[in-house]
Amino acid sequence: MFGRKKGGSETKANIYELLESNYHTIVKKWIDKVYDSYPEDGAKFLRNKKDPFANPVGFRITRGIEGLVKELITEEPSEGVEEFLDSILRVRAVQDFVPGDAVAFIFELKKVIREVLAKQLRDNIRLMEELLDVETKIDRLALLAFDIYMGCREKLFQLKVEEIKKRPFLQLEGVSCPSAALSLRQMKTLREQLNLVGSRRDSEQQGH
Amino acid sequence: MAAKTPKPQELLQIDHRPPREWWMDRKVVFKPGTWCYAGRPENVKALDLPFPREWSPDEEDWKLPDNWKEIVLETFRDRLHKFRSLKVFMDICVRCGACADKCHYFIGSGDPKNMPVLRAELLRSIYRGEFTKAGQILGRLAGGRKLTYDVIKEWFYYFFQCTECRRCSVFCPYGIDTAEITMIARELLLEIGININWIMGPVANSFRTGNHMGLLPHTFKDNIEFLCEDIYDITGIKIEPTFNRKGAEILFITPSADVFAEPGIYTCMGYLLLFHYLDLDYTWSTYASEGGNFGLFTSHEMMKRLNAKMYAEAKRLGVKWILGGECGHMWRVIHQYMNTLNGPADFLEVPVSPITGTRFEHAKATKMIHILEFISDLIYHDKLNLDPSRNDHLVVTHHDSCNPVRAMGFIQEPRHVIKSVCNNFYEMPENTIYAETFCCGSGAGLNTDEFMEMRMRGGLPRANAVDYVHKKYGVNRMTAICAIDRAVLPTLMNYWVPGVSISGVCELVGNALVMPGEKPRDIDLRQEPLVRPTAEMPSEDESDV
Amino acid sequence: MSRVIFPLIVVLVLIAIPILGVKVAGLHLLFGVVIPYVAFAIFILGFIWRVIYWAQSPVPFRIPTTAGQQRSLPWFKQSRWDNPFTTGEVIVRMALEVLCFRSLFRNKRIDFRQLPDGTPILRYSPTKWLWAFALLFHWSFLIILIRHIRLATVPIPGPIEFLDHLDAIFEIGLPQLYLTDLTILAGLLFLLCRRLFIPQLRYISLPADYFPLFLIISIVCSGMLMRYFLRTDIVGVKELVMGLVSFHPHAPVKDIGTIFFVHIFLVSCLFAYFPFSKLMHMGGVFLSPTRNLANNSRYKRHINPWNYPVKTHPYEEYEEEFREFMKQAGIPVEKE
Repeated sequence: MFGRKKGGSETKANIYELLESNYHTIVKKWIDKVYDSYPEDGAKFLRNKKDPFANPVGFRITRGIEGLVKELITEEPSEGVEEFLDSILRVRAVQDFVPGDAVAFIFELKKVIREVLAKQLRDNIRLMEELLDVETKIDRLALLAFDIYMGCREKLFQLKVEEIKKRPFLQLEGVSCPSAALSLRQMKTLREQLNLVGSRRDSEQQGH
Repeated sequence: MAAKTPKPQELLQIDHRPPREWWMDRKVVFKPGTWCYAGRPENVKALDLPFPREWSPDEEDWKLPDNWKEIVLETFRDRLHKFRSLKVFMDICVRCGACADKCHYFIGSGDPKNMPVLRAELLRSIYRGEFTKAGQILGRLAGGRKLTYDVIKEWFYYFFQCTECRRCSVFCPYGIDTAEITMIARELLLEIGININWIMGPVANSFRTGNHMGLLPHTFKDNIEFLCEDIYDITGIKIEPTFNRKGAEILFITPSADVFAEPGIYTCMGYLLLFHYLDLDYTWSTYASEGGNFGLFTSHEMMKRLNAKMYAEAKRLGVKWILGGECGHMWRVIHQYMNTLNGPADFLEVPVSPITGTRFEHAKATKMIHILEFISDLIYHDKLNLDPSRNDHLVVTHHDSCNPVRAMGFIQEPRHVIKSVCNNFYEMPENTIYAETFCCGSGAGLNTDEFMEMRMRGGLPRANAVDYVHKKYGVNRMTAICAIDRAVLPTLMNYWVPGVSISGVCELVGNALVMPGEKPRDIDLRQEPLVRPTAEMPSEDESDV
Repeated sequence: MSRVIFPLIVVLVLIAIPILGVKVAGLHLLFGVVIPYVAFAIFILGFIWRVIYWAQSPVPFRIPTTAGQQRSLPWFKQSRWDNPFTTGEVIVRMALEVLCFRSLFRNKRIDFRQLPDGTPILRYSPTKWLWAFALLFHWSFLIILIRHIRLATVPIPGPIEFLDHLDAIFEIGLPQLYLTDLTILAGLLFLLCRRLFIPQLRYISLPADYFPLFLIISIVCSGMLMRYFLRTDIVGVKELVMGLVSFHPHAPVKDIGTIFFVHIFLVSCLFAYFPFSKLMHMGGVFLSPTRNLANNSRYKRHINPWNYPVKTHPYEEYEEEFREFMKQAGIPVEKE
């Protein structure tokens, strides 16, 4: 379905048809931009390895970007958008990115489209208007991306808290809230009771 | 026209690429989520380890002793003298790069110093720069550099980002083992008081109370009795295990996480049911109540100090042989180190199964066998009444834990048992199982919450393979014969592949085992209904390769 | 970039030295006899020294990397070559490793790629190439080395003669083209290009990785020049080499050709450099504890010569601390 030109001359084609006929170029350029956001030495690895199991990061990025572009060029995006965004952002949420950098790649798509369609856009005011429509969609995509990114970060924090809660000294004492456990008095009691950290001499002094 | 006026996104554009500097020029930046907290002075002191103090890796001053450099170099020399492995590994790497993309941390993070070859070069460059003539004279041209404060920080950062999983060592044409290098590098750091609390805490606990969790004898016993109560509720079978009982035939040792933490406790219930079924003459020990050995992640000496309890307790109780539960690095220690460190165990007998009479000849020196070797033998001789359909609510895949596979060759034993106790079993893709298995990303003492981001990165290759079988076959349960796996994989799955739970193999055995006199079973050991979930299996996605 | 340039310059200097030494200073004896002897002595002594240096450290633990099923119960088929249990199996594992680069072969990976129209295609990734070209290079090198024996023997032994014929089997040109000359060059260029053009490899490469490549390429080129293009007095060469190996050296004939001196000097450099470099992987692979040990540590106790007593936490101390708890919980104790 993609990669071949639709019938009719290009000047009459609407922006979505143009995007569709340039699908592969857009995907490739956009993926390159995403890889550019990684440190160079690592980026080369991501680019070169194709095995989905040997290079899961690259695999997820490719899968996500391809999906997002497909969604964008169909005029009514489906639920799938979130899944594709998730594919990329779930990775970026655990990598060394500040939130802005983590989602910045979405905006690169605008640049990619303008580059790819530069010639057609230059003297076609109608296309420019349609482009604004596409760019609005991209803006919405960015907001959605941020939601998903934050969702992943929240998930991480939640997982951290769950692990802390599972720690035996908390369970032993029936403390369900880590912050309560961290209060000095409780910590002190716990230490005394469990001798988690004290030396044997300490416990002897307590008269066991 | 797009080119004429600067657009907002052009103003926003930031160059993320770091400058092109070579690795020797790049300093470590301590970002949250990628390093572990420093060992608490109380724990360090309790173990008589050097330089207990309050310090934090993200601070400028690590409060090292004044003569840290001499200490490190002296220790380095000593280890070269003691380990041929280290000497050879320092000299023969040709930097062919075969290992580069085999490390789960490199795959997940893209940080070049996580390539095994560079991780080892961090140490090798100092070896050349400080100990070889060429390195001393030519410096960098000979690949050498001097030991500096920054190097120490770099070592800490990267040697506590290695899970000692040995995957790289499988692919190295000379068998260079990064686990060995990491273990010794950690020993060098330990000598100047650099260690992490997630290792020091369990080690200190294990030394004093016998187990990582710091469970005191009565608590340990109580916990197992709680599990027996649950078993009674589920099966109607009453089990009364014994503790520290002299004259038992077999001493059973498993990671204490099995006694205490979910989902290990279900595995433990599996052990209890099995032993009851067999009417096995065995005992638990509260003194040797830990199978795991975080000493392995500390130093060879600490490994020996903790491991000593196993043989000592077996001798005191007068048992004939030792049976070990499902654990990863525990089995590396037992299989490759225990008898060398604390043997010979001539007070024990060669393990013989009291049920089948099988003599476990391959363990005749160490006198300790794996529970799955034991069960596999029972199944082979048809001694167990199993109903695999009681695991029909599960679609199972198996994660090969690094240490049993790559330091032992424990591959078919778990599969034999799993396939005998459940009907739905699917393997993950070829280059992610067996000797090429991917690490959980949290081994070697790195399974702590402050290391979460790095753990998720390191676990991605594994999760990705699980995701594949989850989507393709509807896999909802992954077995793992490692206590660290059981502790960390639920978190990993929760993040990457929700819908897949984790268990030990013996949990499935416990589900399937038809106990004489049991009440009708409608729930599994997790007290979840034995009905297959009605959600239809996701269709095969063609784009998934 | 200096990591590439520096070794290149060193090799160029090494090429210039014999040209100047022979052409300008006329030091035929030095370059034809003294230096080869010295280099060879350094190689032998250095090699022995290095192996002794390694062997001086014990192997405290039995730490083979097991890449297949262990020997445990009879109904599991042991992977004998990937997880050896006996010394014989270890020897096979080592042989496969040394002769076939088995671990590197494991690197093989099939990539699935999609053509623009969505058809999946299969291809092997470069990791497989590494194995192939490394094997090509090492085997070519070995054959070339063996082939050179014909320069040092009268009469030439049958097997050497045979190998020589085999190597020139295509009978191209005169003198006939050796196959290994091409294959070694292909192998070397591949290994060099990998380092230069794969970013990951460039990042980890040291001058000590480029230097041997440049040096061996120069040796091969000088050898080929000598055989195929520049005139050398083959009789003179053989006389010289015979003199060297029979320890009755005599000064080389003057018109033997400068290129010969370049060749033999570079070879001398390689020999002298060998024991102090990563090239020692040739010897080291035999001493690698993850490969040369049997995985039978539960079957047979491995002895650590420096195993020293450590401070443990004996049961008595444990009971001393927790006795009351234990008694209350009904856990048996030694002392009531």
